[in-house]
Amino acid sequence: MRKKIGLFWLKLIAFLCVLAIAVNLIGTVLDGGQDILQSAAALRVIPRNSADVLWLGTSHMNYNVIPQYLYDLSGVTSVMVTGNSVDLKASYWELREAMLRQKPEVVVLDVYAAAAPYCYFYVQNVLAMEHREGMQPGSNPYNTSTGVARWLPVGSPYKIPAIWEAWQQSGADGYAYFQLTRLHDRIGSLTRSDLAHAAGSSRYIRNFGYRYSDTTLDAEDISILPYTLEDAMAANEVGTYWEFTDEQLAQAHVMQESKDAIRRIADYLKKKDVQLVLCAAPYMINAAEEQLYEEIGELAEELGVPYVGLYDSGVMGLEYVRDLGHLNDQGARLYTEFWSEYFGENFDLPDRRESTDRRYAPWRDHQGSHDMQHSAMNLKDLDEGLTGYLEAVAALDEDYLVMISAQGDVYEGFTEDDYILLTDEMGAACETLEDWYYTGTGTMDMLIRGDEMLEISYCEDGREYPLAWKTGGHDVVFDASGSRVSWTVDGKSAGKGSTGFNISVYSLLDGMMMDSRTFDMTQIDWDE
Amino acid sequence: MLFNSVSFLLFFPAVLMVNFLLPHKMRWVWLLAASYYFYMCWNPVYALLMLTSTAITYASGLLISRVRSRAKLWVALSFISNLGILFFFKYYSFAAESLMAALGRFGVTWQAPAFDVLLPVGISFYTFQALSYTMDVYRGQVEAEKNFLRYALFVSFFPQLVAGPIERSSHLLSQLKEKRPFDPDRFKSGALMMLWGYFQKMIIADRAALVADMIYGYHAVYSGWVLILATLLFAVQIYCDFGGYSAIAIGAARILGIDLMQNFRQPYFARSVSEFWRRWHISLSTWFRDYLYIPLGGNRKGLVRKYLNLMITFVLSGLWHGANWTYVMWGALNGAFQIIGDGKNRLLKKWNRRETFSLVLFQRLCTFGLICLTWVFFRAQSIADAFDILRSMFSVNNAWIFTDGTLLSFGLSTLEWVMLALSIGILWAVDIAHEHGVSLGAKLSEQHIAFRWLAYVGVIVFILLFGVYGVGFDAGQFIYFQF
Repeated sequence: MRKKIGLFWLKLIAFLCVLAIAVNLIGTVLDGGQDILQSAAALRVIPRNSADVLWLGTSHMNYNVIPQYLYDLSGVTSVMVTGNSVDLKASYWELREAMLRQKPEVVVLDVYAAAAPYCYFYVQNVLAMEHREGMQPGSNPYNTSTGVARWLPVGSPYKIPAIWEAWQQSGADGYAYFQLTRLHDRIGSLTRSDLAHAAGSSRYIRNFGYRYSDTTLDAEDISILPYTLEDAMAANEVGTYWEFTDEQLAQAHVMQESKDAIRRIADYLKKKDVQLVLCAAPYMINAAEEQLYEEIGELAEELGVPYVGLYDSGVMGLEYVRDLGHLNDQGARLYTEFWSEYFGENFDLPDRRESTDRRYAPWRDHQGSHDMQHSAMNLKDLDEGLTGYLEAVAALDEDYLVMISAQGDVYEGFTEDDYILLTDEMGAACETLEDWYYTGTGTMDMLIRGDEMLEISYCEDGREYPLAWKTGGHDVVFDASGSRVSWTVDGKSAGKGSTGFNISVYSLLDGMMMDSRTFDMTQIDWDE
Repeated sequence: MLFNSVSFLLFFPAVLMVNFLLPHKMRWVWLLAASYYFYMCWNPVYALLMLTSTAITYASGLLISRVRSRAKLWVALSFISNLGILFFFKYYSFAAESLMAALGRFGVTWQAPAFDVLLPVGISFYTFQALSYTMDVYRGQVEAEKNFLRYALFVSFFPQLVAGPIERSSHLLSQLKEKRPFDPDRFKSGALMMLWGYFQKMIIADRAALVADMIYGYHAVYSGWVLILATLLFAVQIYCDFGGYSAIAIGAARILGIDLMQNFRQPYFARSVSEFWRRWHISLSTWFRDYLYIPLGGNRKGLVRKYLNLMITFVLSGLWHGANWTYVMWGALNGAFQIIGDGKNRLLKKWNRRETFSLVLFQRLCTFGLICLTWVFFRAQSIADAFDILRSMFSVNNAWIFTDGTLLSFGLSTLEWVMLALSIGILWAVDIAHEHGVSLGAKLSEQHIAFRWLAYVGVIVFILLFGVYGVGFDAGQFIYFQF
């Protein structure tokens, strides 16, 4: 009987392991890069002991630093261990989990979470600047410590302590700590991108957690009471957009919990012989936050760790920011260049660009891709005519699909230069294109990838839609309704157009549309 | 602590582990502590109430066995005190309001004193369980338990504490004294039973409840097939909710080495309302049979008395379910249908009917229809509402609701309707198998380990994926907790 019971317990443990694997797998699919730690998704797929730098913290890290670009500049491999609004206590568990598979030389921790209670976003929701417990509870709708506990896989040695700590802070129901139970409602709305994410292919994974944004802040859209953004810009210094009394400033201090959380991370990394660097990214801070960041500087001194507090750089300029808290891709490139120099001057991190080690393949295989990505992102800001735009599009590589659809009479607007670009640079030379070019009317649809034309269709009279094409495992559909034309790639919208010459660019790597543009050929003098 | 809560999923394994690590002599003490902890998670103060009921019935048992000459007195005192407590907490407001309304009809204005008290969870269940012990000792069917703590465990045993099955002392008390070594086979069958219970509760009952609650909540705007659908779904809901709870309770107890009585036996397969009550909430119906119907004379005092006893039993059974005239009406209807059924059987006795499939199907459908009719009263907020619903049900034939997209306006998406239909299909298939004596659990145990594990993981993941819980849902309270 004892043997039977012993065998039973062994089988039960094995069964629970199988169940944990199933739960984790399905949880990952349901997460699909939707939950708050999507920017830590790359940790799951990069090889063991491949990242020399871990970026830890909040969106002030994952919107502002480009790991691929850093690698392109200096060969330093890095990955995000971040999440939106993740507090410093929760960051510790993220770090512990990451360190199970990685042995970095440096961990850079963004300390925004410590200053967040005074950030404009939260202050607007907090009465009389009263202190709140913890770092980012209350106005933070996520309760990030719960999110981090949820992100940890079943079977992680840190799952239970993280849940315990999160539960003490939030008191969330038990189902909130597991992806499968928290996100099970998504089962009816899963898309291909969710499955792709689970399989290790999504833009968060592809970009090592970097969440690039092609938006640029529009000053007219924002006003910060009692000052406008222009006022703040004109001041060219931090903090004057939010009025604090001296009494209020006197009360503004870094919470003891935040300091303890930073100390906990510092102590852990010290034991692991990993260098910690604290940092504060540039954004629109106020006087209270400035004070807090200075206090953190004192803490850094006490801990004997470097502190890169760029908060006092003020606003870098509207062209570099996506919103009041984060940089756009242009700004992130600048910030990443700073880090490249910083590492070069202060650390002796290996340059992995020449290495043939398979561990660094994720970075190596996409060398230069961020430049391309950046170019693609900049398409929407290009203020060029058709020829200039086609030149920019022609420079894109095979990671981008270009969908072209000429609707109606484009004869006057489509020049010989444009034709040459299509034929010579984009591989579209063919009889069909020629036929279309010499009539300049009807409907012409074309699918291009890199410098190769994949498909072309031309109807001199009438239209033949939908057009469904397959390329490299991707399903591309051109469709039209009335004067409208639209594209989808793998079921996802890839742009819309109308009468005229339409171009849409879709990133296959990132699974998203980069830009969609219509050149209205009825305005024959628009090039002037 | 609900069975379908994370706290129970942490509580139960912990209790289980400690239980089997402890020596046999300590186990029931541990289970007692765990049971009281389980109950106190609802409301710590009301544990004192349960303790009071326990003490009264324990004392009555001892007194009955030691002072036989006054046995009836001890029984009476036990019943009066326990039912008095039950009355105060459960029926006082109802009785007071009814009395005030009745006096009001005669022009008498009287304001009863008001007591704002919460209904203690499970009071109807543990009270009846404790009272059954008193009667069993009185009848000599069981010896008085001398160990107070062991008796307290009998009353408070957590798997069946708040919603049954209502156990008998002869069945449960004796098991608490026996040695119960860990048995892997019992563990497996108990765990499967619990899984089945969770499936019924979280996949079927709570999903059906979304629609039934919505339609019954706004019944005045609905008519015809919408109300019929809601009633059918309520029939499914209450069966799966209560049956699911019982399955979890029985499964949990089995893992602990205790066998609880079966509480449901494919009730909707009944061919008559009488048979329905031999299949539905068996522990309660047998309690009323043994402690009310039979003492009243049962069917031994002539036909009229039999029917009277039946009506009294079912009216009180209805009242047991809740302090509302709708429950009384529900009980009365069940009693009336049984009387009519009995009369019909007497008339048709001389006609030898062949037991054909079509006859059986017809009888089952008719019985199900009658039961659903009674569920209207069970579910409605008032008798007037129930009659309104019944009138509206048959006022219009709007069968198009099944095809014109109306179904999607009741809170379930297409996928969820499909899920619900599929799950009810599975329920039906399992019930058919059980009706024919086929134990699916046993069949599964015979399969290869890989197949079994695939099935177990599949079911668990299915429940976690499609269960009604989490953001936007209340961990659906079990219906019978309100009793």
